[in-house]
Amino acid sequence: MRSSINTLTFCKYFLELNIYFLWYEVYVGVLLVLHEWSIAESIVVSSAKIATEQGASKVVKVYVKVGELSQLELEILKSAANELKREYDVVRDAEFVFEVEEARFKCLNCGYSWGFSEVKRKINEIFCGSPDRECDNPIHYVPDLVNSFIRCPKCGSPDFEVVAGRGVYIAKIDFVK
Amino acid sequence: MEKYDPRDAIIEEKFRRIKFSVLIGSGKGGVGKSTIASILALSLSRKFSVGLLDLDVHGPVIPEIFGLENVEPKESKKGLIPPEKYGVKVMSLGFFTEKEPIPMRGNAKTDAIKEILAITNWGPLDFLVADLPPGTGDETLTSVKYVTNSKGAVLVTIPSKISLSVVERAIRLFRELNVPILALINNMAYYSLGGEKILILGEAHVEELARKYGIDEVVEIPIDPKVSKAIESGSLELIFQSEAYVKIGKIVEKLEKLVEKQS
Repeated sequence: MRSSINTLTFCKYFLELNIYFLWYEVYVGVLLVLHEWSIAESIVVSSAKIATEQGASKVVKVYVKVGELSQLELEILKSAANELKREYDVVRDAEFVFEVEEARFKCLNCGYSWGFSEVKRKINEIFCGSPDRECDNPIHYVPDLVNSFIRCPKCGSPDFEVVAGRGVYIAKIDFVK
Repeated sequence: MEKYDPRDAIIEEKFRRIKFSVLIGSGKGGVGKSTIASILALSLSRKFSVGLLDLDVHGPVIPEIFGLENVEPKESKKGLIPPEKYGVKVMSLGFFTEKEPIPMRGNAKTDAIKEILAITNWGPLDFLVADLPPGTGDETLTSVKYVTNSKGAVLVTIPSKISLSVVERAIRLFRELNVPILALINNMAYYSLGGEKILILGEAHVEELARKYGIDEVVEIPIDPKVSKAIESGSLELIFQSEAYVKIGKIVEKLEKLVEKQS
C-alpha cells in the first residue's frame, strides 16, 4: 500500500513537472516571437520609408539579412512582416525574403577567428542551464553584449569583434516607380 | 543599393511620441550625473509621463539607483517595455548584463545604443531623460544623433578646476552639435552646516563659465546625505525631502515651459 502511494505521488509530481516545463517552453516561445515582431516592424517601416523616399510606387521584393548572432526565427519574422506590411500601401504586395548571415568573430588579442557554432553551446549553458537547450538570452536582444558573456575560444580574451552576422539589415529593395 | 539599417526609421518613429528629451552629460566621470538624472526624472514624474534612459554603456547604474537590479524588461509586439518605478519608466543595458563587465569598442557601443533606442517601447512620453556616459566620444555622438525629437542638454560638473576644464569641452561640443544647453549644474557645490555653506571641494568659477557660453541657468546642488541615504536604503521617496530636489525644481520649471510652448 505504502509503495503504491509513493508511486502515485511520484506520477503526480512527474506530471506537474512536465506541465511546468511545457508552460516554460510556451512562455519562452512567446517571448522570442514578440521580439521578432518588433524587429519585423522596423523592417517593414524602413522598407516603406526608403522606397517612398526613392520615388517608388510599389515595392516588389525586400531582401533582408539576419545576423546569426541575433538568434532570430526567420519564419516568425516572415509571417510578422507579411501581417504588418498591410498597414503600408507601398509595401502591401511586397515579398520579404529573409536570409541568415553567418556570424564571425575575430579576437583582437590573438587574432583567432571563429564562428557562432563554436560558442553557441556556451551561450546555451550560461543562460539555459544546458549546452543543448536553447532559450531567451540578452544577446538575442542586444547582440553587442556578446563580449560580456563569451571569451575567445583560443586565448580567453573578452577583446574580440563581431566581423559579420551581428544584426539585421536590408540588403536590397526591388521596386517600380 | 547600399545596406540600410532598419533601426534608423523605427528610432525616428519612436521619438515622435516623446515630446522632449533631456540629455544629461558631463566632461568627466564621478560628478554625480546618474544621480542628477534620477532626481530630475523623479521630479518630472510628479507631473508628467517620464522615461529614464541609462546610456552609460560601460557602467550602467540606474537600475541600482531605482532598486530594479533583479527586474527584466517585459516583451511586447512593439518592443521591450521598460520597468516602471516611482512613476518613471527605466531602461538600461544593466538589465541585460547584471554585474558582467561590458568590454565594448567603438562600433559595438554605437550599435548597442542604437539597439536599445530601437527595441524600447516607451509609448507616449512627455519627457525622456537620458543619462549619457562621461566624455565626448562615441556614446555621446550617437545619442545626440539618434535622439531625434526636441532636445536640450543639462551638463554636470563639480567645483574643481579639472572638472570645469573638461565640462567646457562638453559645452563646446553640444554647441557645435546644435543642442541647446538648458542648465549647468554645479554638483557637490557645498555642504550646509547650521545655515552656513562649507565649500568642501573648493570654489570654482562655474558662473563665469556659464556666462562665457551664454548659459542662463546655473544650479548649485549641495552634498546632501539625504540623497545617498535614499539610494542606499532603496527608498527614493526620501529624495523629495532633499535640498537637491528643491534646487532641481528650477530646471523642472524651465522644461515645463518648453513643453507648454511646444503644445
